[in-house]
Amino acid sequence: MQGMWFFFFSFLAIGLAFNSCTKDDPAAKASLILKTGSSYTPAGAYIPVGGIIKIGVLASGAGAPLTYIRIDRITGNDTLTQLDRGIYAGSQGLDADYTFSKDTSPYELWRIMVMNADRDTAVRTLVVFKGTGTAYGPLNHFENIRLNFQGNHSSGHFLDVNTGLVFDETSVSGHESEIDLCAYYYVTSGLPSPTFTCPGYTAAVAYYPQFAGWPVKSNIVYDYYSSDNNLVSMAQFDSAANDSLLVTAFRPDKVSGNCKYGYTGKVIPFKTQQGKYGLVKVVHADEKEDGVIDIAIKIQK
Amino acid sequence: MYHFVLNCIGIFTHKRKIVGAVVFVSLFFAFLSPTVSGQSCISGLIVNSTGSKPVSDANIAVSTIKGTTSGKNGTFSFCNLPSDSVILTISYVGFETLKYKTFLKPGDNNLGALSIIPAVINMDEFIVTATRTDNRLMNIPVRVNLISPKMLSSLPIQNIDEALRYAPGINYSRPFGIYSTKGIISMRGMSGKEQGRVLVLIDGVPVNKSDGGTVDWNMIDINSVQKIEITKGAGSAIYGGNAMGGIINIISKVPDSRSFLKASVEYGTYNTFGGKVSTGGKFQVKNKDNSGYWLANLSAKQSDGYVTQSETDVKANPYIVKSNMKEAGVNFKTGYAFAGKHSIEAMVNYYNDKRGTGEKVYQPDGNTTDHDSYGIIVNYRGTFEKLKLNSSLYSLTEKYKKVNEYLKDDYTWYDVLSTRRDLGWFTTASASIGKVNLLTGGFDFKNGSVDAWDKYYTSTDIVYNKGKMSTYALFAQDEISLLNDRVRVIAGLRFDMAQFYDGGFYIENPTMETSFMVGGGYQVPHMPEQNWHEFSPRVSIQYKWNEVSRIYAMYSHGFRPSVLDDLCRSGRIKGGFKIANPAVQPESLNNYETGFDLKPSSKSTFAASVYYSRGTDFQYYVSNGKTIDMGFGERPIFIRANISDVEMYGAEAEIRYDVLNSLTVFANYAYTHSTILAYHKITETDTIDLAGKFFTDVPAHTFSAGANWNNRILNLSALVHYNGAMYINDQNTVDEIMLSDQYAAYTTMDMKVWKAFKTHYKLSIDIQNLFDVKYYDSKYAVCPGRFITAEFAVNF
Repeated sequence: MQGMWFFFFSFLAIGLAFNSCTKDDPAAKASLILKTGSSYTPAGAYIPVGGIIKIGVLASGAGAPLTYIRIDRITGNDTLTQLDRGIYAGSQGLDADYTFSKDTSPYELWRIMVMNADRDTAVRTLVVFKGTGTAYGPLNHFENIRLNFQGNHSSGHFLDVNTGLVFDETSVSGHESEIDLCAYYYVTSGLPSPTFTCPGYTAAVAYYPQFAGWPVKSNIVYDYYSSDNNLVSMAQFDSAANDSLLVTAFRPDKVSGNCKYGYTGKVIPFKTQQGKYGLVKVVHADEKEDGVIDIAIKIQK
Repeated sequence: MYHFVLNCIGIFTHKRKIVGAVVFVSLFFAFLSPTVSGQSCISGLIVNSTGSKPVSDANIAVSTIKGTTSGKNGTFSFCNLPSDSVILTISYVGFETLKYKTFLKPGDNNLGALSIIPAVINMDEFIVTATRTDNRLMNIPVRVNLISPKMLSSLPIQNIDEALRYAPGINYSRPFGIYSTKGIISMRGMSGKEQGRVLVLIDGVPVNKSDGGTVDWNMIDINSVQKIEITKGAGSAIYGGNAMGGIINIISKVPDSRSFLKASVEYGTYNTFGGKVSTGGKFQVKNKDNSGYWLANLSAKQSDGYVTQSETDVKANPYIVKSNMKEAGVNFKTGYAFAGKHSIEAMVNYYNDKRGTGEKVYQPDGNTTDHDSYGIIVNYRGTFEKLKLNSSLYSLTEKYKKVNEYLKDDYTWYDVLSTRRDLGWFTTASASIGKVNLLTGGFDFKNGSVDAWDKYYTSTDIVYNKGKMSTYALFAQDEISLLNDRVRVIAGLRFDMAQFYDGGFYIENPTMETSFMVGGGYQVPHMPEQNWHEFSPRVSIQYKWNEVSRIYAMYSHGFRPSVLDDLCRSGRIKGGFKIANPAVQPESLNNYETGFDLKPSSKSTFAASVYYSRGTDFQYYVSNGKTIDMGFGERPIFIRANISDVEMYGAEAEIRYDVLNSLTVFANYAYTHSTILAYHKITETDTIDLAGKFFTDVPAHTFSAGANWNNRILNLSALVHYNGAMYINDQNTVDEIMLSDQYAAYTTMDMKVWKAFKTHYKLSIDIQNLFDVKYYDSKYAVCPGRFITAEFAVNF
């Protein structure tokens, strides 16, 4: 009987030990304010179609890092997400400006939301109205741009889309922060894949190791939806005289991120880190690592 | 006058004295016997050497001329024998075979009492897995490999699954050594990609999770393991699901002394260090029929690890870090036997680990997996006259957490949180009916569940999946012993019935991370119930011509039920997107095999088997002809479906030789051929056809060899393992990363050196992969290479 009691109590003690509980810490509260001042769009502003809406964000996770920001444009019953981005902003919080283009809706509610690692959210809204006239702006058109893939070192790899200048591995020194676009070639799922990317894309360093040492690395986001579905034709690209096509072709809820297949004949909408909209037309893309890709660029001035 | 030239050839030398006594007694009686001219007759009495009780039904053969069996009083006689030198072979189940050489004179030859000696029963050769009854290894017409305690203690291993790789025909995968989140053991041609086609038991309780069929080998403390039984071929007739390729039963230790306390520390490659404590003892209470034991094992280990990714990956990703690990576990086992006929055992386990998977962006530990596992097993054994009862209750819970973070276009961070529960009640009753039949029957109940969510921190999404499966089974088996156990037949049938219920897959607050799953009907908060059933027969037969030599043949059926992950979870997989399929049915297999065991001498054994298996309705991911926009372009949608008929065949052979009492060598080889015979598309738009393709992750050839040398100066074991090339992908095409259609074959050598000194101390050094071979296993990552640990143990 003594043994039976020992058996019973030892078993019970171990079982209880495994059922102890812990108390969760209370969740940190996120906070968010919108910047004010002459350079930011005020609440109730009237903006002409194509005009710029600039939103400045100051946010804090209050003890937990900020990990997410989303900006939605709400027109009537339609909600179009303009920015949906994972971030990591620690104790310094988030201080960032975002620019968008006014579309044809008479009334727009802009909803800005941040979330911290405790999944606590803070939301602010901004209402803007359609102003009179249009504010589509001029564009720059750069033709006959040739970029080398990673295995071709005969000329330049790195493009500044604002000027159309192409830099090679030597001449890029001192211009790193101006570089927005480059291209590489690889095979995926058995398919040849000439690809656009940017210095800020993590995996790009595999093709251009020098990116690892660049102090500033710019990002471009490419819209795959428009290009994969041929929503912008080469003829439309050629006839675009102002930035209206550049702005409207870009689907912010369908961006593919920092890289995009650049097959011959495709027109790919993009948005630079400075908030400029643009289109890249692929005139010809080789299908080899030591090949080239010939493109033309149209970008907001 | 009688002349007796007597020469006893005892095949077991350690019993020479007893045999000598038998010879003397026989000689004495022989001289007293009367002289008769003409034909020779022979007679005698077979007795048990321990107690001299007559042994009935013993087999007596005179050379190759005649044979008979002893009567109820142990006597035997037969005539019409030539007057010549003959050899009597006397055998009986459970006794050592006695060979007895004599010269027959014309007339009667009374040999008197012939003692046969009970075989030295090595309890480690008792097998419980193959039939769910206690059986000796050679009494089961099934191929069973045993990893004995002696062998286990001589292997240079860090995790218990590594011990299995040296057994014949075992397909072993643990790509990152101790840093692997999971290991996979398969056999008989089953793909090394999935654990679900081999059933793994701990003391008879299944530990494959219902969620994915996986086994967390890391949580099994080597210190707690007594031995491992590997039962080959389909075993669903006795255990039901998962037992398609075979069954691995890990038998845990019980203490063999009144009290003990052992402690050890270890240190090794990649700054690996750890410690173990083991304590326990037996106790007796007032009633001599009542006794008990207790046993506790604690262990902890951690290691800085190494970079598992290729150099190309390291160049492409600045966030790659070393894959590291830390783990701790405790298990407590206690048992109590009472009234001489009943015993109850209980075991409680707890295990926690955190393994870094080699990428770190912002999180303190980077990408990690974390298991928080605990289990309770209670087992009752009782004897009620002829009936033996064995009943087990178990509950196993795993709280799994996987932290995922990466920085590509933007920062992504989400946790996979999954609670996986498995519980069950297994009961077996067996009774001997006459001398021939041992009837076994029972019922099993199992319930598995998963409740999981992907919780994003870099977006608002939460993706839920859940599901439960209950299985009810009845089984019956008859073990038939004929011709004095020379022929044994096992016939069994099991019926399994299962129900999938409470399944669901849905998303809360979807953003661009998961919006592609929102439309298209992929969200199913309440999945329909599904039911299925399966009959699993087994018939096997063997013929033994002595205690150590036999030939056997077997037909058996195996099946594997769908795992909850396929039934109720939709999500990303490599190359596309998979959708939950609550209607996927079990896959099944019919296995035919034959083999033999020989013992050419007292020091050597040889065993070989060949098998052929044909599987139907095998589950594969197959395109449903549609694509989905996953945020980076259209990708194919896959669904788990019963679409393949498959064929597996192969051969295994093993030889073991005791060169000296202190030196044992072994070698084994296995050939495997596994292909898809037919591929049934579920849509015409599916461009893939896998018919004729080889299984992935199955080496055609494996070879292991080793030597274990124990001596006064040093104990040493050395092992070599060859793993043949394996196909990488289902279509057997060139992989873009490996630049080949197969992982290259590799050979590794492992060693263990150990020495006990001053009674209480032991120092051992384990060396894995001595020549630092950098091989790739079933993942695109390189192995740890040479791995050395030194352990110092104290026995208080």
